[in-house]
Amino acid sequence: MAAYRLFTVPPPMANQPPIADDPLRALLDAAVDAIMLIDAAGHIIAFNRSAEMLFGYAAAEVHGRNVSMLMPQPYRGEHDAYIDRYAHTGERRIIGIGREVVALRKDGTTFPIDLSVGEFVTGGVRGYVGILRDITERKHQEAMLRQTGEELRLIFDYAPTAMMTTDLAGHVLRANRACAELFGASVEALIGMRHSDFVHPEDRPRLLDAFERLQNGEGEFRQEFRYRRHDGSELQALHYSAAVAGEDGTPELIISEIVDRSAVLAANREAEALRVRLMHASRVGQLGEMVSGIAHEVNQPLTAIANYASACRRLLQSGQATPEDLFEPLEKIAAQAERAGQVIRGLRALTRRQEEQRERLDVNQLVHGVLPLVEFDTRQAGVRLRAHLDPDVPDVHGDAVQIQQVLLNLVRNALEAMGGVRTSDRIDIVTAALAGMFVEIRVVDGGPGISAEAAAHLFEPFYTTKPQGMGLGLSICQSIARAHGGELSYYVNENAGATFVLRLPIAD
Amino acid sequence: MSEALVYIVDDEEAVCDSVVLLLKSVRLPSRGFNDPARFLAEWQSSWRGCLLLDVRMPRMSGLDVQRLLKERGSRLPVIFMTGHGDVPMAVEAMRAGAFDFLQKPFHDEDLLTRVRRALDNDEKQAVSNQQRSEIETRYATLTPREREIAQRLVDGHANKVIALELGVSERTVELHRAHIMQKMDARALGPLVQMLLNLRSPA
Repeated sequence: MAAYRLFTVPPPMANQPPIADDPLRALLDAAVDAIMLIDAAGHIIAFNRSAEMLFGYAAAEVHGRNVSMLMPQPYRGEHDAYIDRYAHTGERRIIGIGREVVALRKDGTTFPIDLSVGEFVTGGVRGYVGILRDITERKHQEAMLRQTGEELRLIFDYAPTAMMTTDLAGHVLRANRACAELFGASVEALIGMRHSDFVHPEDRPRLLDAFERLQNGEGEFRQEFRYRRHDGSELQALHYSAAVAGEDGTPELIISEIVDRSAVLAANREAEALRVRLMHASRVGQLGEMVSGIAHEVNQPLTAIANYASACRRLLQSGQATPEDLFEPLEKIAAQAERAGQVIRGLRALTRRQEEQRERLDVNQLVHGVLPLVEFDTRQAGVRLRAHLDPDVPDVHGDAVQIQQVLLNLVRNALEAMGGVRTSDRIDIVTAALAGMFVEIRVVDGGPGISAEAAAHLFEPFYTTKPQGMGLGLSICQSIARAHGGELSYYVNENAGATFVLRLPIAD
Repeated sequence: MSEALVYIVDDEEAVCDSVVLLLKSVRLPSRGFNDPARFLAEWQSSWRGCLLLDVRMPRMSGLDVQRLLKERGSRLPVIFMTGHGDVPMAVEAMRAGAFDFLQKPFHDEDLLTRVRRALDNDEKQAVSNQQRSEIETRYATLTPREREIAQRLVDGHANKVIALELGVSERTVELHRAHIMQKMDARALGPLVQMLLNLRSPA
């Protein structure tokens, strides 16, 4: 057979290099791909070295045998029919096309190959040449890639954050479930729409501008936009977009993430409103407490005055008393009226101005102004309130009402602290100059001191150890102190109790 | 029985002092205490008159003083003096048996009217207590049989019925009845029944 002869290797001559023996044979054996030839009936007539390695057969073992031996069922049983069909119909299913098929090794294992088949006719002999490449590795990688892709798709689809990919013009390519949910439309309905369609008209220019910058190679951007749901309702969202570059480094598509901030913003607004309400309630509460104390404080001298006056009138009317007898009660009336006046003056000083006013202030006078306001409460609690005022203490600069509010608060706190465990029955208010820069007003109580737990949160808003407290007193005091360039601090006394220190800068 | 006095308890010296002077101007004797503890320490069950009591005081509230007095069996009518915003306390005080209350600062007429009413009330109560104790003394002189018959008379039983119930003659009942009337110093059946009913009612 001519074909056979063509591939029959003559014995090599000793003085010639192997390549000269049979160049075709050498080419076949040097090929990386497995190559085999079969005749028109399907018998193997040539089998190169790579084919031997791939299938585990020696060329001699397969020579003259039907090529179907290299295929697993069902292809093995059908291969002859394939050849027949081609011979009769000339219809090419594989020749010149190539396809992925499964091959069978000598040891019975199968493996995927990429097969291309060519037809040849030489010397009246028709046959086929098959070139095979093991694609096990490629197949494996493809499967891996598919799996990874599938995982990524699932992650994308089921991610809790709304995500979409768009082309560079902003048309939606893909959108995930969260995205559909966010906009109140189906995923299918979103595909093909433009990203800007979802954005509030006023915010659109900003978005389009950002997308343009992405197209021009700017990697990513993050901005807040107002979006519109399918039903027209609005939402505030944080938008994050990044350009995904192709192999050549130019942007191919844009991936966007949209985080709904409406709930967070609403919660923030609510918290702020609550805080404002609480501040107000606290002020009103403190005011109510103060008013009740002050009313009592004013009522007492008024009661005494009314009684003395009525008594004097009656004594005069009945002729029981001489004018000399009335001298003492009249003196007392004057003294009580003066006392009431002091309380009223203190009260007026506290409520006269709502607006902050900074002026030069005598610290000792500030303390003096507060004393009548807490006199009743201290007496009621059986506490002795003493002021130890340094006559040379320098002036400070600030708002008298606010500073007095701080002092009032500190004394009331001290009183409340002494309502339970008491280590002494005194509250001392001390004024002193500090290093020529600050003035200190100390409120020293005889309560149980401050627990470590309370100390850690003392100045935090809404922290309180009092059953009815709102926990704003000290935090407001601290902010007043800081607004004056000062500081409110505290320490636990050596012999128990606590000292709060209001430190204010000296006026220049 | 001691002299009726107006007792004033208020931690505020000026209030005490001025009320004392006001009462003095209408010739009502009084005593002021600016420490409730001292008042309680000195209090005697024989004290008569009335008590002007401040609601808001350091250490011990007026309500505490009222409660302690009641526990000790005091019958002094209590007039509370309340300040601004103490109305709920005043209500509580009234519920606890206070005689009246006054809001500070008060008009002298208001104070005097209430004080006089309280003194009157105390006086009447003292008289009725006096009468009651006299009736009690007289009742104590009745024999057991006489008491038995007296109680049946109060319940409205006729002599005949009582005789039947006790298994004695009607004549015997009539005899007992005459003794009862005599011992109890009752001119007729009506006053006797009233006296005995008075004894039955709680003090």
